[in-house]
Amino acid sequence: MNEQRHSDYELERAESVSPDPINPKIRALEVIDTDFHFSPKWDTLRQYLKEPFKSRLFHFPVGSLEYNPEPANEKPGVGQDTHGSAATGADVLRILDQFGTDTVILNPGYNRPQAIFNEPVIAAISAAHNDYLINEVFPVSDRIKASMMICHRDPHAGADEIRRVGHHEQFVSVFTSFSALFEPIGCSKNDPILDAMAEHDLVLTAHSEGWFPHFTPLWTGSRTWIELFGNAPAGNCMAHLAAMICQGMFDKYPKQKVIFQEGGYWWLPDFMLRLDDFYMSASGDIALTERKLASGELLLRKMPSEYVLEHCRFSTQPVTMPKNRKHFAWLLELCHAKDLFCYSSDWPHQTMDPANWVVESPDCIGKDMQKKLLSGNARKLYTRLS
Amino acid sequence: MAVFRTANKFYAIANRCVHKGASLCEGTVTENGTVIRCPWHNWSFDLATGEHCLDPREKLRTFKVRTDGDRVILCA
Repeated sequence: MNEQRHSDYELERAESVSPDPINPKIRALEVIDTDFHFSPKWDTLRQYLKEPFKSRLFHFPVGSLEYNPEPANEKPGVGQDTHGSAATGADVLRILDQFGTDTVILNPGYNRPQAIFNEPVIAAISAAHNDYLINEVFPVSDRIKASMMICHRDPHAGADEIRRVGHHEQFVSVFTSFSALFEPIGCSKNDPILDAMAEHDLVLTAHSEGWFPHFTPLWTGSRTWIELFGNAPAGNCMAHLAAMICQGMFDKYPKQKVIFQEGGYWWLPDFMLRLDDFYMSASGDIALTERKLASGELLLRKMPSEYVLEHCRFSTQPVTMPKNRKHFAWLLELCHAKDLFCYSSDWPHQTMDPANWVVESPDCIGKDMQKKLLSGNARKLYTRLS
Repeated sequence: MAVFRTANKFYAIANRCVHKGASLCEGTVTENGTVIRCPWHNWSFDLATGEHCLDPREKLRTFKVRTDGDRVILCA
């Protein structure tokens, strides 16, 4: 009798299974997710830490207070991992299948290591994370690629790590963040990192870190998740991008590509016009920057906006779409989305985006552009994917 | 279509969230059984009207529900 009841219950549940929220068109197209956070269990990662860190670091040493979305999204106890947590290769494949993703580029879930001021600690955690990927995650599937962790605060340590593991083909990128905790990624102090990246043809991933109080002057006076996450990353992203251009990073490293994540992008039209306009009228101090002093050049080799088009790509999450379809089409055009945008989910964070929106706007995003956004632009960007 | 039974009432609404397409039947019923909160990004809709709690212009289709004994009848 009990068995019969159990079976009735199962039948009832089976009939009420939720429909697949992923648009079937997504499953028919190739999808590359350029931002997916992978969070190994700390005890697992610790096994890969070298001594003396292994014996002393009982937890991931968060640098200082962090602000996560729990007070805003009322989902207590999960921190940033609103939608779950992937700690193994098998976890990753399960989520990829759920979302119709073919290939993923894992970003570190411990994605604020540069908040720690102790550079050897950052370097040790980065090496442990990379070794765990190489030994236990990459062998699970060739669908899994990753951005390697490095210590960005110490450019020589960062370069050493790139040279140590950069030969591994499943690393397609180097992960760092745009924040106000250190000088811009684009300043010449980071040339050792850029030299090592150039040797390995790796993309630079510049990911948002901007909403933690200590990361940005834009925090001052903020009280809410919306101010911190909705606003501050865009400001930081623009500052770092402007530094890359104006301090000659792309002139010294003409093959270097950068993908910006979670800093927004609808601001690009204003950013490009503004930098070009200012450059036309007042470019005298370009010659005073370190790389230009070394090369003897007085100016940039191109107009600022040209570097954006040639060197920069933008992960799409979190996408915001105006209700007026004409405006959406204009924004996509003004931001050169067809060539610059690469789909990302940012799973499992609060503003996670499935790829539905790419195929559900056929009036603004035609079939060719759908393919470019979902995989084509990423394949072209990450040379190790093609 | 997603059907919800709260303490003393049935509601039927379009199952697909107007924000980014999640299945609302996987969401959470809150506010004493009057609101459905989306499982993906927390968009919250009044079960009776289908309107987003903060912006009524964001609206889900609703369907009339009546009961006849043990049967639940949806009127599309």
